[in-house]
Amino acid sequence: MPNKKVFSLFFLIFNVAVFAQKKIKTDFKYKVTYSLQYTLDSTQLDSGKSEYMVLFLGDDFSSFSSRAKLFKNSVVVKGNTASTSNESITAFPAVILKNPKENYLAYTLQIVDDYFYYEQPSNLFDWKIHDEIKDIKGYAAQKATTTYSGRDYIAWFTTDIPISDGPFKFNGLPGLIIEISDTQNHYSFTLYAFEKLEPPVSFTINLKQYVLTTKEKLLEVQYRYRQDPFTYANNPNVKITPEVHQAYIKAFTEMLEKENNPIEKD
Amino acid sequence: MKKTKFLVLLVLLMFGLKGFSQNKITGTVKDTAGNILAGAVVTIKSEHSNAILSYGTADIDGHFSVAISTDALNLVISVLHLGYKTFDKKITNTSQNISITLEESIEALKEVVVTSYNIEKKGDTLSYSVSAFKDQKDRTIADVLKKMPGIEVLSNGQILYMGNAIEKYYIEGMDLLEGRYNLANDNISADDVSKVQILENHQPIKVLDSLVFSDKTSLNIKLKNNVSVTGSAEIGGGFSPVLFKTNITPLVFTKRSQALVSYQYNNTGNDLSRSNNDFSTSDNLTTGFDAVRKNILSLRQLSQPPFLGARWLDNNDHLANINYLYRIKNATDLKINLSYLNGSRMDHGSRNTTYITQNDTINYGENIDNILFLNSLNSKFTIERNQSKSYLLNTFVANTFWDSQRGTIINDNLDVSQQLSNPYLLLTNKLKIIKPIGKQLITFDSSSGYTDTEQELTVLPGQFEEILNDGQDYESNRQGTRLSTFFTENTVGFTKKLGAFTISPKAGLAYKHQKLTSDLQKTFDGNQTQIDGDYQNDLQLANPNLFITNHLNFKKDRWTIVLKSPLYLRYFKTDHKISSQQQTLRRLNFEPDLTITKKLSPYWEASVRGNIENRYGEIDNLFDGYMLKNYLSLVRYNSTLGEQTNYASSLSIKYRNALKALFATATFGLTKNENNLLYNSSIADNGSLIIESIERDNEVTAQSVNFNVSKYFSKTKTTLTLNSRFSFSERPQIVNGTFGSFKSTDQRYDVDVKSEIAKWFGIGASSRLTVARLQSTNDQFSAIKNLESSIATFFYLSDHQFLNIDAEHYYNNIGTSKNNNYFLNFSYQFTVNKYNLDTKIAWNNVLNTKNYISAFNGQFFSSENFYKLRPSQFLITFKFSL
Repeated sequence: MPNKKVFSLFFLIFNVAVFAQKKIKTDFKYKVTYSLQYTLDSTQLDSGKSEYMVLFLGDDFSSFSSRAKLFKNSVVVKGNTASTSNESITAFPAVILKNPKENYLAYTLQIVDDYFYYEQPSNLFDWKIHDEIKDIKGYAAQKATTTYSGRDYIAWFTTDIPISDGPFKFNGLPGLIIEISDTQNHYSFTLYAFEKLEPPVSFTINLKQYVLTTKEKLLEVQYRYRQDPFTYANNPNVKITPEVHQAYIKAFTEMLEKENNPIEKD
Repeated sequence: MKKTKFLVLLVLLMFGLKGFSQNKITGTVKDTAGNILAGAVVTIKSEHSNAILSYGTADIDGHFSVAISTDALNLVISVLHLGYKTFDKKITNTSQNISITLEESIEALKEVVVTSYNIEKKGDTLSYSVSAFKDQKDRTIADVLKKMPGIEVLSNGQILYMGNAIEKYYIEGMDLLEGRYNLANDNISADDVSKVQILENHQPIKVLDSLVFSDKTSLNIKLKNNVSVTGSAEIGGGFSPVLFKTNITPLVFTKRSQALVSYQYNNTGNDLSRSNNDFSTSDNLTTGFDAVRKNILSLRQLSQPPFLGARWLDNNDHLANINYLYRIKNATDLKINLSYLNGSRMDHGSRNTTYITQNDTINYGENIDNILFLNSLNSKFTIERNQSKSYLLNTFVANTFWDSQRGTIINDNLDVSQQLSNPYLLLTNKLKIIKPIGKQLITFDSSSGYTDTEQELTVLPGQFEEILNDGQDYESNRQGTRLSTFFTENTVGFTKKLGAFTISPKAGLAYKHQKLTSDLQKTFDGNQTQIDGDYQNDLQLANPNLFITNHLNFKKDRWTIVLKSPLYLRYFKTDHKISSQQQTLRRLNFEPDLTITKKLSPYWEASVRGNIENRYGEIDNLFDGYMLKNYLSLVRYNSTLGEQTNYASSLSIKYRNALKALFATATFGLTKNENNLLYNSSIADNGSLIIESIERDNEVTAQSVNFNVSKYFSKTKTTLTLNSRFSFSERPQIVNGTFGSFKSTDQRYDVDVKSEIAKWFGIGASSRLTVARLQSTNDQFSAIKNLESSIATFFYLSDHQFLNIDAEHYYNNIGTSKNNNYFLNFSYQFTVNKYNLDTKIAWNNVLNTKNYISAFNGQFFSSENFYKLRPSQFLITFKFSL
């Protein structure tokens, strides 16, 4: 009997390594920068916020995140030149990996020292193409519309950049999406820059080291962390007085209550 | 294949509803070499428009399929792929299959290059803006900091960010107080601060910026005004007896200079000698000389209770602080930090000790009354030049202590009074220079110092009449001793990153010289005489060291390997002037320390560590003439230099499932210490003890297992933590001339529950059971059981009111003796906004429990301690900003 237990323990430890093959390796050849205008608090619609978002394009995979995430990476920025500042703060901490050829999308999120992800097919969008064409930063862009997760979107894509990708989870048009906004203008991505990376930047991610979960579960964990990071971190060396802890939870709960307008409504 | 079918279906669905004739264009896309071009975009336009009508993408096999629902007669098919020339062809509007070959192209895509980024308007930067966190009852910046995400302020004032100690606490970019930042943190008024900047990955040394990555975090306090006068004051009183506390701390900040002056007093049990706590995270010396003050002679003291000083520490403390920083040109800071402490402490209680010897069990009781006087002046002078080309830091420290103690011991047979004076002087100078030499940054470190202590212990009447006075009673003993130490350590090193490896080699030279003298006098029939021979010491220890160390760090994928590999060439020379004993010793030691960590999966992590370390005797356990270390102990070490080799290894396995909020750790540890010396303890019937060291190779082994599990229950907002530890150790010991092996087995179990049940109510409960067993070859000691339980409740009555009720129970059981201690405490805080005043009312030790009783086992004794506590006391404190 004890042998069985030992075996199952070992099985538990190594099972992920045995079954999952999730090592992604690619060279990023282009970098797209979008400017994102967003409104997290629907009760204060004029309190528009903005952030730069970055889409890296490789042959197989693309990676989309806030530009702030780049400052978190010690390899990109060393010392205290940038990672110290406001610039590394983001309202969008997730990194979205897409491989439209394989109809694969992975939404990854780091919370303290835990790494999570959930998977989706990448063809989430039912695009309708319109005849309208306009010039955006020198690219000929054509209009397309879709409905996704409670919002209607108007997108502009260009075949001048023949890559079927875009900001956030958006993809599936015959060219890069260089502008997309919901009809209420709560979330609006516009192209800020498109640059070739010379030499290409190699990128590796090992999803074996990430906890595979569902979107619902991940939102729940993220909420639990943001409401009470103290309890979440579970660091025995960290002490806090209960009075302060309570004040702390209160402040975070109020902050989270104001974030009533996420990009994905369901 | 399924995906393609789905896609086709999708496309069909999209365009199938329009009612036009449905034509389908299919085909494959390849390059000129015949390779499949997956991901190629296929678009269909009408002949006369640039607008795309429909589109598709080549799948992994290069196949595409585009459905067309237009009545146009002629169409244009375009096939696009990055790095290839776009293929355009005019086709008729009929279903057809086309094979397409794309030619490679070197034509670059049109770029839009960024020149600059506009300022982002981000979400509430909650972690920075003080106003976002400050509410009316927050008085000082510490109150606000405590609430900021990721920041914790420990009860001793140390600040943690994400669980790790912060590196620097800047005020307007200047480091006035270094590690003693709690002085500023506790006193800067929150109203004067505009922002708190969290500097993650902060490298404070500019020359290392962008070269040496730092994982440390620092804080910068931004003030509202260029010139600020801020600070806080606190005043409080209570009974009984009369309690009083005060704290006045004004601070002045200008662009060029900063000053903090502070005066504090209390007799309420707040130990001000600790408010000088230095939380610097600076690196230690390689050879490990610590300038920590050592008491060679001492009074017998009681073990202190494990809870807050306000319930037991009978003190009277004054502390004054002056800190001044001036920034001159060339990014150079000059700093002076001075602090003066004057205090006294009372220690009252009793101790029952049972000594177990081969033939006998000796019980010995003591009623202990001590008073300790503290008197010290600490000063520090710093010059720091932090430029982008080079770095220089020089710190000179002079600390002087004029401490003294006196006490009495009373039991059935005796009434002993003791007096001790133990002044201490410490002078150190540390210099650090970082300079680029060629392409490499070289770090020079030089640290030198001198310490001196001349201690004197008087015991009245004399206790060792058998040994010291032919069995006749005598009036007193006076033990004098002086220890002086000079040390210096100089190193040079650098850090280099090579791929996944980081290496930091360092070479150095250290030298330590110590001198110890002592003499013992007795007074018999009014005559004071010096006791000669075995009761005098005059010895010196010289210890030069040469060393080369390397710190290697490897991090890749799931592996982290850290290897420290120091190589020491050590030389020791001891010279006993009185016994004319001399010894020289040369040792070459390799002391590797290896840690390997592997992340097995997202949930599991395993790490192993192994290390070897050598330790050598210090001069204060090398003297061969007897010293009266306290009124009961005569000690000498008439042997060679102690040599110890420690082997340690551990294995730990961690489980962390954040989804389920379940965490667990198991750690197994094995240690072995090889020693060349054993200690012989002879216990006389009056409890007096003679300790001598004897040369005899021996080893001490220990094994331990630790388990920790914690789980958070979201529904009830409750965290449950379980901990247990089992340890077993075996060590040889000589007691009264008999060699024995002592085995000790310890068990510890902890349960802890914390819950924030409602917005207005929280509760925490914890319990710890320890069982300690000691066993020798001949004897079985009675096991000691300790059970500590506490429950704390918190009522958040309103935003301005907070009530806290604590109850504790301490139980211990040794042999037939069972002790119970009960405690109850209240504290109530409220803020009066009108007068900008915080008021705190505390009632400590409501049940008026008199003593705290603790018990523990030593190798040849077991002991019970009764510590006299502060009585039931009531204290009211007002705090306001200056």
